Amino acid sequence: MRSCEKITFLIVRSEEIPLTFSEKVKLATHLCICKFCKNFEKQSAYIAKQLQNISSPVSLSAEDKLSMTEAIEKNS
Amino acid sequence: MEETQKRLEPKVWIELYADQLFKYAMSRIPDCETAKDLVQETFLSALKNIETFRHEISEKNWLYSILKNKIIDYYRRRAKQSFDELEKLTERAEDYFNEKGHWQKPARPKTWRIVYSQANESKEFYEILGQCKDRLATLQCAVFTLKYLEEKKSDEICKGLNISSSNYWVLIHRAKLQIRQCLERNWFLK
Repeated sequence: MRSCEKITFLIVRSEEIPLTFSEKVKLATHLCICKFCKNFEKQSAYIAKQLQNISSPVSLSAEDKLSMTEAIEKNS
Repeated sequence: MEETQKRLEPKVWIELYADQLFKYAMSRIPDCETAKDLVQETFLSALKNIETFRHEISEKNWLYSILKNKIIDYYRRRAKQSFDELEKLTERAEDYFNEKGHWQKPARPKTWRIVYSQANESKEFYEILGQCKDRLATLQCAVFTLKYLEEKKSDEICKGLNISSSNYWVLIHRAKLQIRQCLERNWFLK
């Protein structure tokens, strides 16, 4: 069995860069027998997709906006 | 002609755009004060460069593009100070894998009972995901944000942050392992 560390590395890289033929074979054979890496593969792609929807729960306060307005007025 | 051209309105910028620009910055930079500063700097440099504004793009998109550059600059400055992180990261691989490279028992990815193709999750989910991302170390957070939120390509990120391609992939790999585990522990298997 190939090392899961190397396989997860290939999985992450394959999301951006196409793998070589031999890397693809290594990956596919490993994923047939290792359910942890199989889970990792699905979850890694899922996380990449969901990261684009992150939004922050913190908002600017009225004072923050006031001091920004002052800074703008000072400079305009 | 001049009169028909849409004029920029710096004074209403704050009211119209401050909140959305701030949210955008906050989802990319894990520090509220820095995010505030970057938004303010965005308005100020927009003012300073007001004559370079091209009317082909909207005022809003123009402000966003200035903010985006400020975020990248911020990470570039931080990256310079964080190179010792790389060594620590290589050591920390043992949190996830044993000496043979197999999963450590607590780190093994469990099954998440979800539909992986689902596009949108709840607001609470994104808060947890954001918190998991904010726990990344500086350099990791930099590459991760530029890659997944700014959708930059790896060669561009390496050049911008002055890191090698192999270091880049180590950073991304470790960041993915860490976020995955954080999400599993704090959301999926909670």
